Parts: sequence; C-alpha cells; structure tokens
Amino acid sequence: MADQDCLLAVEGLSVDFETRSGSHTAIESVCLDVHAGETVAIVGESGSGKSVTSLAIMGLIRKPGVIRSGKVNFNGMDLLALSSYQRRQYLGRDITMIFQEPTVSLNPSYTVGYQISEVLKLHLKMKRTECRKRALKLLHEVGISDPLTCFKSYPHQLSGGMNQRVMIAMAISCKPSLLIADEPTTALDVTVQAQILALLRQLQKNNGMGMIFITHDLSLVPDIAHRVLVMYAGQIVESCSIDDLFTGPLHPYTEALLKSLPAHHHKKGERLSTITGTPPRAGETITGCHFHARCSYGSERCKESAPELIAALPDESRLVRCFYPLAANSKTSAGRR
Amino acid sequence: MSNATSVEDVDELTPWQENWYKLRANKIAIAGLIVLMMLITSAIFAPLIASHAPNEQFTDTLLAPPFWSEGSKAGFVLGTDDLGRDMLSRLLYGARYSLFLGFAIVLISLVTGVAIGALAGMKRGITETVILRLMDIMLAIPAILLAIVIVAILGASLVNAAMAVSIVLLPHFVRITRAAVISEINKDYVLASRLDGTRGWKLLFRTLLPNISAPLIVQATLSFSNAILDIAALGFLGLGAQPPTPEWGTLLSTSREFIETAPWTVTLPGLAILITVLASNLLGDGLRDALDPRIDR
Amino acid sequence: MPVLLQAKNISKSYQGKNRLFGGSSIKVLHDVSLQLQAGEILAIVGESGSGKSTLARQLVMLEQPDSGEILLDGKPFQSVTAIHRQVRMIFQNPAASLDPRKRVYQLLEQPLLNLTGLSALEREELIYRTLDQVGLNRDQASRYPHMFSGGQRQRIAIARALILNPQVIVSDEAVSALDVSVQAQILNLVMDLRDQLGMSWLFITHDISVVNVIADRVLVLYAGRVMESGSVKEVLENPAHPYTQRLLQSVPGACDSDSLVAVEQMIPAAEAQAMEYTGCAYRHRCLLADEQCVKSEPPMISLAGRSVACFKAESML
Repeated sequence: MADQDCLLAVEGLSVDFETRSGSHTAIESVCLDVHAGETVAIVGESGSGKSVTSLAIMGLIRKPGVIRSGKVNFNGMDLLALSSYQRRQYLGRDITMIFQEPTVSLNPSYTVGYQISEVLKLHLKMKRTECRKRALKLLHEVGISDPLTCFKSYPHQLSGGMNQRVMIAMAISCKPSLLIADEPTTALDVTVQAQILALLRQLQKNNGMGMIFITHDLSLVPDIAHRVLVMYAGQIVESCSIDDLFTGPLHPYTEALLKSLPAHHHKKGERLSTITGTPPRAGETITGCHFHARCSYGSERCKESAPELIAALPDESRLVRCFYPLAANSKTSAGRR
Repeated sequence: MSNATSVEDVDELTPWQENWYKLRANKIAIAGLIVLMMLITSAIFAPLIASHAPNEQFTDTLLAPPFWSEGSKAGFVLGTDDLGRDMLSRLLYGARYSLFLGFAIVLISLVTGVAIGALAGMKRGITETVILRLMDIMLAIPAILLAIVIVAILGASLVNAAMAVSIVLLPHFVRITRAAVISEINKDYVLASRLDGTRGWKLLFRTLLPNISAPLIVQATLSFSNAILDIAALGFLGLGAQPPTPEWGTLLSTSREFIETAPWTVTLPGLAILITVLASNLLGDGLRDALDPRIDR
Repeated sequence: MPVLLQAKNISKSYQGKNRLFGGSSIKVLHDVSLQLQAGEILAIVGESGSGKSTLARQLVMLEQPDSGEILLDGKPFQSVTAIHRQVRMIFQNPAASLDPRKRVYQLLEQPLLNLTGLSALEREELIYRTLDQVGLNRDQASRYPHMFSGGQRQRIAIARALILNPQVIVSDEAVSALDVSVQAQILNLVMDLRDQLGMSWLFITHDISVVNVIADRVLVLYAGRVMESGSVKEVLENPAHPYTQRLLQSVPGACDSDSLVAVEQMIPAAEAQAMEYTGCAYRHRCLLADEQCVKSEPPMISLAGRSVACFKAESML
C-alpha cells in the first residue's frame, strides 16, 4: 500500500495507569498503521490492552490513565499534540467509533432519529429538514427495512442488532476516513453478528474507509480483516496479514490461541487445547518476555530479557516479538475454510 | 513495570478494607471522624474531665464570663450560667445526652426501618403499597411539627422526645431499604442464594443486607446529625429534656434571656451542637463517596 | 440410557411490562418438551428472546411453569428443597452470580448448611475436595470473588453447583462471558466432570461451535418453541429446520456471509413473543415461508432421526 494511502500511523504509544500502589503499564510501545480501504484487527483477551489502545488513539484516556509517550499521526497531524478543542473537530467526523453495547451507548432519553440528526447538525451544520432526509437515507443504507419507524423510536424499543446499526449509521454519517469498532458484535446474537459484519464490509467497500476492528474472538477475524495485530499483556506480539496468520503464526501465543478455538476442534470427546496458566494481572512486574510463563517453547533467555518487536521478513510486513518465532511455514489446522 | 511491592497487595483487600482506604484519602471526612471520636471520648469520660458537677450551683459566681474575657473566675474555664453552674461541665455532661440519644435514636430507626423496608421490598403487592403510603404521609409532615405532635400526645420528657424523633427518621430508612432490596433481589447472586436453600429472613440477613449496607450506613450517619438537631430543637422548645438536665438544646432555651448580657451561655451550647452536627455530616459525605461502588481504583 | 429429566409441554407467561398500552401477558415458553438422559450433555441453543433463560428457571424450580410438568427420575417435582439438591444451576456472568461480600469458603458452605446435615468437619472436607475437582487451590478458599479472574470465578460457580452432588446441572451461557482460551479450559472441565462423575448436563448456549465440541444432543429454541432436536451429529450436519441452518451459517467463516440477507427485519424474536400472530413463529424471518406457514403452526414430527417442527423440513434434507 502506498504511503499516501496511510490514514493513521501510531508510533510508540504507551499508556500507564496510576493506582494507589504505584503506576502500572497498560500498553507499551504500540505501533500500528491503517490504510484506506483496509481493516486492521486488534485481537487480544481481557487485559491485553486492546480497548486502551483504541481509547488512546481517540484521545479518550482520562485519569487515572496517562499517555506516557507516543504519536498518533492522522492526516499528517499528531492527534495527541492537539488540544481537546482541536481534536473534537475530527472526532465524530473523520474518525468515528462504535462500541460494544449498542443499547447502552445510545442516549435513552432521545429518539434515535434525534441522535443521528444531532451528529449531522454538529459536524455538517445541516438544517433540520435536511438532517431528517439524510438520517433516513443513512438508516436505509445500514439495512434497516423501515427507516421512518426506526427514526421515531427510542433505543429501548429496538433490538440490540438494530441499535448497533443505528450506531453505525451515526458513525458513517459524515463519511469518516477511519472507523474504530470496539467489539461491536460481542453483545449480539450470533445471527445478528454475521449480518453486522457483512454490513461493515459492505460499507467499507462503498466508502473506502479504513477500519480498526477490535475483538477477543479470533474466529471473526478472517471475515472482516486484512491484517491482524495480536496483543498480549499490553504489548503487540505479532503483526501480519490474515493469510499469514492462519497458514503459519509466528508467535507461540497466537498459535495457542488458534488451537483453543472450538471451531478448530474436530473429534468428539477430545479435549480442547488450552493455554496453561493465566494472563499476568494488571500491575504485575514481569521480567523478560510477558508470555514466557505460559509458553510451551522458549528457554532461560526468555525469562531474563524481553524480546523486541522485529520484522520477520525483509519487507517489514510481518512483525513478531519472540526470540524463537515458530517456523514461518508450519501449518496449524485452523486454516481458513 | 510496576512499583507495587507485590501483586498480591493490590488484590488482597477485602471489600471493607477497600472502603476504608477510599475513606482515608478524604482528609475532610477523616477530620470529621476525629472530631466525632474526641466528642465521644469526652462524653464517656465526662465525670473525669469535668472540673465540677453539672448541677452544682456556685452562688457567688453567677454569670461569670469564659477565661478569655475579663472578669472571669478561676476554675470556671468557660464561665458559668445564671445559677452559677460551670458551663464546661454542663456541656460535657450534655454531650452524653446528645450523643447517646443520637445513637439510640438512629439505632432504633435503623433496625425498625430496615425491617419494614425489607418487608415492603420482598413481599411487594399490597403490603408494599400500604407501607409506602404510610411513609409518604409521614414524610409530608415537617419533621419538627410531627415530633411536637407526638411529644404533645405522649408528654414532654427526654424519652418521649427520643421516641418522637425515631419515628420521624423512620421513613428514610424504609425507603432506602426497600429500593435497595428491590434492585438487588433479582440479581444472579441472590437467585443463586435462593437455589442454595436460603429463604426469608435468612436471605435478608445473610445475602441482601451485607450488599445493601452502603446506603444504609450513609443514611445512619446523616440521620445522626438530624437526630441531634431535632432533640436540641425539642429541648429548646421545652418539649424534650427538662431543666436542670444539661442537654444542649435545653441549655439554649434556658439561657435565651441572657443573649445580650451573657452571650456565652447561649453561644457555647450552640457551638457544641454546630461542631457535632458538622463533624457527623462531613463524615457522612465522606462515607457516601467511599462506599459508592464506582470503578475507581 | 434412562431418561433422567423430562419436561412435558412447559408453558410460561409473564405479565407484560407495558401496562400503559393494555399490557397483556407475554407468553415466553410455548409447549416446550425435552428429555435429558443420564450421563449426557444436552445443549439448548437459542438467541435472545428464545426463552432459554426462562426455561432454565423452570427446570431448577426457581419458578413454576403455568402448564406442563417436569419429571425427575420419572416422578414429578416434589419439594422445592429436594429439587435444589438434585438440579443445580450455573449462571452466565460469573461476576454477578457470586455474592461479592462472601468468601469462597462461605459461598460453598451455604448450600451445605441449608440443605444438608453435615458436620463442620465433613463440610470442610467436602469443600476442599470440590475445589480440587474444579482445579482451584485450597488456600484460595479464604478469598473474595473479586480477587479472581473470570475463568476462576466460573470454576467457583461450578464448584458451588457440584458440591451437593446433583443429578443434573443446568448452565445458562456458562462460557459466553469468558475469553476464548479460558472458555476452552472450562469446556474441558465440563467434559472431565461428565466423564469422572457421570454428571448430566443441560448446556444452554447461543454458540453453535461450542455445541459441536461438548454436546451429545441438541435442542434448538426460537421464540419459546422447540424448532428442532436430536443428536448433535444429525442436527448439525444435516439441519432440517431453516433456523438451525441459519445458525450454522452464522458461524464466522462458515460460508460467504455476503449471501446472507443483510436487511434487519423489524420483528426481532423478543417482539415476536408479544405479538399476536398465526402460524410458525419463524416465518417472519424465513426465506422458505409460504401460505401454509402463515396459516398454521407446524407440528413436531419425527424425521431422519430427529424431531423437527417445520413444514419445509423434508425439502431441507
């Protein structure tokens, strides 16, 4: 992808949380970039720091969280260096976000139509009648079969799937260049989840926008993403394309994660493959590689020194944080169907 | 990465220890707590601290001013009243009445209120409606007026005044308990408790109460200050403690006529009430913040 | 295998919340029947609005069904206490289902105190033994729930269910709130318990891929009605009901999901419960629905080794 296509470039983003017992690192040196028309998935389990990353990009980190370092380059500007007033010109218009629990993310006291119009009025300065027309069009675009009834409804009168569509409508209303979706389907039923993913793909194709898709469910990733970043305990441990991920992950954690997917399992009665141990708790001091305690490979070296995120291939498209990355062509059985 | 001495520390705190740490961070609330503790200690040890007996009259030192004014008499640090009784001793013994009554009233209101409120919250239906409407009626009448009416019916004495104030404070506990019970009772852990065979009163005491204690504690602390004020007001009106009982409100009432000639006889009891109520309110506000289950570690 | 737990024609209604608009009652379960055999894991698959949680509550006798009966070992439910001992439940959200003010030891001791007559020593022994069974340390018994991770909390919930040695465990979305790798650990634990203790398990979930891993038989629920039920092999490899097929297609990566109908219907399952309508409950979203489906509700028929309620079942196979 050409560099002028690059919408977002995050460099060395680190966020700490100040607690009673000192400060602990939530994310460390996170780097990512997103190009137009591309979806980057950030995959991680609870405590990996994926949500903190998206909030930091949007500048939504509040006390006790503190952004220690890093740059978020969007359209040539560093978002973190802007004042919150300046940043607000972009948030909601050029960079938008959708969240996990749609019914809770919408204001329960206003109709859905009012909330969409509010966004249009604020960023595009449209008049009321224009707003209404545009909102109805947006609702239709996100696949709601009766936009008028939906427009007049309150969030609690609509299902979770519909509320998520409304959120998406609000998010794309100003034709953003970048959409951040933080676990948008986790709270939804599985049939609705499939529809929402299809919708997001379609919108991306139509609008050419870039997307960051955050999830804990690795099985969703092939349906929606072009590239994947795997996070563990606040660090990126692997970054590669979708194909590479499934044909041969390089980091032991990624491999273990793929193996523990239920869909990967084939024989009845056979136990699922699991990762021994538990993720490090927030605030825990770890020397060396964060994953070494649970890793089935590795050596003393992993306990003593922490590996850096380095390129596995000469062209820098594949990064891995491991002293002993798995062979690039080893196959796991969780191949794409 | 982290400066925590041990990861175990961070998560090892019991729920109550967590709350205590949050409270400790609130300096003003702790100040209130310390003042309250000092008052309680003084009240308990009044016989040892006070220089004289509270009702002993020293006829040759009537209306002596406190030690910082001229004309003060030795041995009477805060001066004397119109019958020659030592102000400091009367205030110290008066503290016993106010504080002890405050506690007793809150205790009675709390226990009764929780029982009635829990009944309303758990039984629902007609029981709940009747209880709520009764409480609404009680809340619609101004507190002091209601207390006066009750005391007028029962007769003017400290015990009756205390009972009147308990009744007046009751509806707050009932409402809080009922609301808290309703909001908790359908939660998973309560259902799980029921599936474990916990029923009725056991369910209330073992499962519900520990989890709804926060708003009740806050209300108790704030009711404490209300109780003291109400008892003092009743005393001031002559409907509570009768002279020569050195209850602070009664002190105010008996010294009213000397407000210009011997202001200390009025201001000192007033200050005592002010300080106690302020300390207890500051503590109550601090508790409300500390016990609020925000995700704010 | 003998039938352990049997539900016959369970129906349940709740008072409508919307009293302002002539709120009548909402029927959540319509004539639901199921059978759980000893030592098997029966999965109940349903999305929101399917009535699965309500069904779970009837089966553990948290509530009484309006009609129909539930039999344990061939006998109708006797006393509530007996049922609480024999049929235990695990809830979805491990954080919410454990009393935050009780230590683990107290949580596990509660059912023993209330429903058994064991001495203090016997209780202690049983509690520690159960903690071992679910893979927790004894010294963790003095901790509070918030000190544990999600997976560990769910193990505590399983221990609480297990401790009375029940015949049946009903779990309502036991793994949905957990991370994938933790989910795998818990599923393994469930299978281990089934093998070691002969536990019969009613596993409610919305995730078909979990069903494939863990269950022997499956029952598909939609809008409070059973759509299809049979062995996992039969139903998931050859679904006879359009809804079952839709669920299978919705598994990420299962098929080219662009071909799925992307338009959201205005009638989600939760509303379908409250509406007055005739015919099949799924017809609002079914691509195969025709006049017959609108006019009458399809009866449950036996077809190709499973039970299915659909007029179009034969054409599906």
